[in-house]
Amino acid sequence: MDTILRIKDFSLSFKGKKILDNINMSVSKGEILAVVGESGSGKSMLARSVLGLNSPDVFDIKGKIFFDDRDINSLPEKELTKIRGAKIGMVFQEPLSYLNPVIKMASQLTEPLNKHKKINKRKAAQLMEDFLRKLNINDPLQYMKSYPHQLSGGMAQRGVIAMNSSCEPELIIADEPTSSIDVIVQYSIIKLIKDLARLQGTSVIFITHDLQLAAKIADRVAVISKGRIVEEGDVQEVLKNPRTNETAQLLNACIAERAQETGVKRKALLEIRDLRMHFKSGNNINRALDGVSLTVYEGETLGILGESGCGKSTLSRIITRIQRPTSGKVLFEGTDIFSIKDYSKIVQMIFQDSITSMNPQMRIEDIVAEGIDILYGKSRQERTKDVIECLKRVGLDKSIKDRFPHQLSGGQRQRVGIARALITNPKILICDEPTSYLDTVSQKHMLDLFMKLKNEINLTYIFITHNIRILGNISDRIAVMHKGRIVEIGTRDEIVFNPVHPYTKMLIDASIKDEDYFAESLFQTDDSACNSCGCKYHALCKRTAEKCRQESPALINIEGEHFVACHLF
Amino acid sequence: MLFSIKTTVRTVLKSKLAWAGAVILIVIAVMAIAAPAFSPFDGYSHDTDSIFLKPMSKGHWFGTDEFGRDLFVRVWQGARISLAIGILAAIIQMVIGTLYGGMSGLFGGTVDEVMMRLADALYSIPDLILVVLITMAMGNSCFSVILALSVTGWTSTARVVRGQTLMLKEMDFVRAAKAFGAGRWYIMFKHILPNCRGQILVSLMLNVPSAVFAESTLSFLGLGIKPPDASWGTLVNEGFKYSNITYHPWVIFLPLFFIAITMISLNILGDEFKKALDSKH
Repeated sequence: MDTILRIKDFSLSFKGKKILDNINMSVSKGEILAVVGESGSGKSMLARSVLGLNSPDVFDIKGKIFFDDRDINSLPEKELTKIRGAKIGMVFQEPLSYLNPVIKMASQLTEPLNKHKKINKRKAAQLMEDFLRKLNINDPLQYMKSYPHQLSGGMAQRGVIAMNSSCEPELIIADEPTSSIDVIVQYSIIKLIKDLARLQGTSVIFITHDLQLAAKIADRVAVISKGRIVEEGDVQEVLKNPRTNETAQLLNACIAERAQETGVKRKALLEIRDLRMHFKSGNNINRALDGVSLTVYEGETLGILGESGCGKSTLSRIITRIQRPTSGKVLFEGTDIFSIKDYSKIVQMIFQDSITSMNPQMRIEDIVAEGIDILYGKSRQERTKDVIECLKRVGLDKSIKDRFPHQLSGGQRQRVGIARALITNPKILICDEPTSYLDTVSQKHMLDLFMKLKNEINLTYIFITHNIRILGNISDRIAVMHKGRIVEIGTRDEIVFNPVHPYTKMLIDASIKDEDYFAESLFQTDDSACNSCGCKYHALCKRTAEKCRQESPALINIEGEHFVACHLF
Repeated sequence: MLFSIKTTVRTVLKSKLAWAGAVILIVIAVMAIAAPAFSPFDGYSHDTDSIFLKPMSKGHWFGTDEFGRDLFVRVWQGARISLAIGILAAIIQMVIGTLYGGMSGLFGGTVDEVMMRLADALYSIPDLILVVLITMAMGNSCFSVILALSVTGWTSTARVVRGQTLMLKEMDFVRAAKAFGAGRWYIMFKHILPNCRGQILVSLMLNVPSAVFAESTLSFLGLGIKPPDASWGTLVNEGFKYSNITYHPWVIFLPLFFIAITMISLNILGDEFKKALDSKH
């Protein structure tokens, strides 16, 4: 194989301090090399050096970098600009800071084509459009017309990748391109980079701190630590038997993160057995829940994913004993929840709308203390003490307790909602779309809070949402609901990376393409004519078989903990 | 929204009409309490020398009636009874209506259906017939009038509260309380009724004038307060019976005038409260 980049005895120091130390490395054509190291290990400096961005006036450079058999450091600046962008593309961590916020995507995206290939603007725009379509961006016209801030992080990053690969460079350097993006989009971007490398024969240097992510994308991996390459080799090899301490540490960090996420499960806390909830409206029976069976393990975060009207809220209300089911049982540690006396101390709930979930006539202190008032009845001082402690736990100041709900911000109110649920020290917390009314920043804070609380007091979460992104970030297992039934359930990775049911597949696809699937689905899911017969998804499914119309599929085990209800598997 | 009496009253008093109504009512109330005590006349003793004296003669500001009793004192004595009965009846109506409507809405289903149909049945019978029947059965007294008015007048409050309850009980804060295992009564008194306060207040404000008027009607018909006790209704009744409207118009028109301005003021205030609360939602 042709070697496209060769780094020989390369060292870089800044004011006597060594940043990179004697690097030897090469990248061949069409190869994806992952450079893995923790932050501060010098991996980004290496990338900058390859582009010749480290000026010799500031840095002390030794050794040579050959790109296409030409020494980068000896080339004049004029030659270098020709290489940058045309031959070597660079994708940065934060696309929104890389893109100019006041210029439309169209002119930014066509810039490299215009500059390096001397293609006129209109032609370049057309080329770009085709290219964007290839990269799974629907409606590229609209995309080109928008400003960077109108795009989501994932979409913007896709644009940056498109822009950098438009001149068909021989090498793309991606510096942590996915670290600011959620799991699902991360996955799609990795796929995108991989496809690019294969289609155009581009080599890729993929810089990351996540060894497992590197394993998903790269052929070869170089582990870098304190400016030195400590290990290099085939990805699978390195992952299986790391030879050096540094690699092992990185690997452990990843695994520890995972282990924390997956938690220790196995002890079944809540068992839901064939739960049905039918509402009569006139002659129609609305089957809000149509035979749902689930197990919730201690300490896990179970995500329940589904569009509005799929019965997820009904499910949560039955689990919290707010409603009684038509038939079926919910067992907590083996006992029917409707016969447990102090069940309210075990399961608590956080609601979607923080305005309607609080009595507007009550002060925050009384709202938070409601659980104590109903269940225990403590003295005034103790009550106030408990309330203040709970407020502190969710990150609120105690002065808030004398205010009324409408005097708080949405994020604060939602925190009060959490404090109210926590005051009885529940074991299970049901969150019904708790972040959907919040802006993205508060959303992030809220999710961090959920994770913090989980670690502090060993909570089990049932997290109900229509937003697969959120589940991708926080859940251990995901159950996908559709029209009152569970169509697929499995660990997060199985659902996100290997969905089996066509409905789940569509949801994940939509999320990767950054579409709001549910907005569209509102007017196309009306198939009330067929409420009970067959698979409820058959009207929308692309692969309907005769059987789907007649028989409703049961959940079958595919492998491990992955179950799906579909006739086609 | 948060309901507080203070802000509501403040909004109401922004209207000049409401101010006027409130001032008139306060004057009437103060006079009703104080006037009879400070007058040299007692309102009961007959004085054959001064029958049908015109207003502002011989110290009788409002003149005298057919027995020579001082009308100024009798009008304010009447105001006491009329207002007391009106307010008491309205409060009892409010309590019955609130509890009935709240329970009906909270229980829902068949219970709700039965309770509301009962209330509808009661509502469909003209109030006056029921009141006449009750006072005839119980005899003329303050107590029987209050009872009669309370029994018939609560249905509108019940409807309003039930409607609110049906809405409020689906709110998440009620669900949150249920998740803590709260009982029906807790939910009703802690969550539902406090959120109905505005509506309850408005229906109370509008029930007072109708109760005052109903009492006057009854007394005018001779079914209400027994003479020689006076209410505005009995005063009109007596004037109607014993005097000639052409010669002694003040005997009839003075109590009528007070009935009218009290009704108008109360209705204006009630409407202003309604407006103030509506604009907040």
